[in-house]
Amino acid sequence: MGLSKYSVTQLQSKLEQQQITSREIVESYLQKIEQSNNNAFITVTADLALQMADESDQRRKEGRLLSSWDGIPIAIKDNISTDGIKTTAASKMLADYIPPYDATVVSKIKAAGLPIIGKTNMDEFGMGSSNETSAFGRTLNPVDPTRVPGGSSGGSAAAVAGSEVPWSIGSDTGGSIRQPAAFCGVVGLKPTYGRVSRYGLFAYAPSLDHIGPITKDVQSAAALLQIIAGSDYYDATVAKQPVPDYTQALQVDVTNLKLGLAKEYFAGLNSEIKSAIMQAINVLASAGAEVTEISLPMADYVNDCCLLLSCAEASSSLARFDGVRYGLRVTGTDSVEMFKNTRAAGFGPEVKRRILLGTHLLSAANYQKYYAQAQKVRTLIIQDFAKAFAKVDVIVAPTTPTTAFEFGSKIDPQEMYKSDFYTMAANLTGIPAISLPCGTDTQNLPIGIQLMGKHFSEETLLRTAYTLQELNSKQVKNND
Amino acid sequence: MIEITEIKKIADAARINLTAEEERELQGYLSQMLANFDKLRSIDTEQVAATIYPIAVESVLREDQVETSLDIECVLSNAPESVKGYFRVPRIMEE
Repeated sequence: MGLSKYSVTQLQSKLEQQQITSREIVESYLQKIEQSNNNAFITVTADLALQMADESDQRRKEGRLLSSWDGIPIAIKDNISTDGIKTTAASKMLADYIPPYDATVVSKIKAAGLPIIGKTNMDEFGMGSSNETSAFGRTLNPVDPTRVPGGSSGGSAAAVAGSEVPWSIGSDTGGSIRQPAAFCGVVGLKPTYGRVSRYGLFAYAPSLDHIGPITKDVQSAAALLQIIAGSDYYDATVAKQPVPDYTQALQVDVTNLKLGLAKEYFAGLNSEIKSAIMQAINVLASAGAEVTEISLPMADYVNDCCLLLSCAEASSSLARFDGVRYGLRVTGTDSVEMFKNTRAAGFGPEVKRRILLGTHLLSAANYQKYYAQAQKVRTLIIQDFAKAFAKVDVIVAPTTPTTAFEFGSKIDPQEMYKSDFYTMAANLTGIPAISLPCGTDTQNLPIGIQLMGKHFSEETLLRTAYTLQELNSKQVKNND
Repeated sequence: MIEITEIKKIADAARINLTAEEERELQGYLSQMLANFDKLRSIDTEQVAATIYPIAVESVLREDQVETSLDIECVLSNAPESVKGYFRVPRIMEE
């Protein structure tokens, strides 16, 4: 296992004490990646990572570290632009596309001194919940290779869970950070909308897209959020709220914290998942949290509302892929034929389905009936959560309706969409949400618990999650 | 069930060529998805304003000053075909 067994905090400490170098850390992870069959990476940037590691080691010698995480390598989902490094969105459309600029999150990661070890596999253009729509092959779940790692940030989650990288960046439009984190047994945080700049993220649905961390533990999620959060000249939708010190939130303390359990989320829930979540709630209650039942009456409309809006936005976001300026070109007798040939060859089936559905929803005959209506239903869903947050601080929910399913078991797209049942509300409302492991089922598959908070309440979420994580691990230690 | 003629119009608007099999599959998919979305249409939204972004956003302005942008070389670096600083494309037919 070498150095890849260590957490970010442990690596930080060993670097500080000069027990290891950044180069040794990177070499260890590169070896792990080399030995792995998981296909978590589309591109491994070995030379770059080693060069960045050497620069970090030099900075450390000269006492001019860029951050306290300088030298700890990271992986980035392949829909986030990295200057000079192929970025494909797991699509044939961009198989050879090399961005000429860095996404803001990448600039911030470089400014913190983190070597970039590679670009992770994903569902094509973020459209999927299993990593099965990637044009670069499926990613295996390190916990059970016959099962999906989840999606669309399946590569980012699998790479962390498989110890191929200590932390990673994913994106989340309907659950794509949290669901794979739950399936792989790691931590996934979708911050508040606007907390992290989306400049350089290939847009899927701009009012629903978020970038966030996928990590082994809550403390490294807090650290990575610290690195990537903040305002940005290049993103007009980014929040102006100042970025607090998220590491201060890492306290074991939930005294008087009001937890809400929505009855709509627990009706008909898989019994093993329910049991694990109730156990976690008991742990928090024993530590001083109050538990209240709440209602989210719009819960049954969330999935359809989110799907409708995301497909409509996607049809607009993906209109840029036409063979003119970048990406695949399949030529034709005229430009229009070129657009049609290029898009037919470049997009996979799920991407085509969603673009065509979105196009249809935005047509003159359908716009008012469907799209405009969904925008209003979105408001009602936001109001649902606002009413709930008047009573509670954190809403506790399952992350997913099932644990990781087998490859090929959800051929019907609509079965696949159900996997995001509990996660889509946080995208519609823009509220922050974190998933962390809270047990396993009888097949030893990880179960995730989801905590959701008010806008910009990441500190409360991180504190709650950290408390649960620490109390649970103390329990495990006591049991050993 | 959505007609094939409608599917062809949608594909044309989305600028994607579809095979006959893809058209048939899409008939089923679109019809089913719209049937699901019809559930949203029964919700009373008479007094409800639309949400565009989930947090308050305001137009962001900047000073009207020229700033540097990407070099032309960078801009053309991924171009399938370029000539003399332009993207080259097949002729554009007038309808």
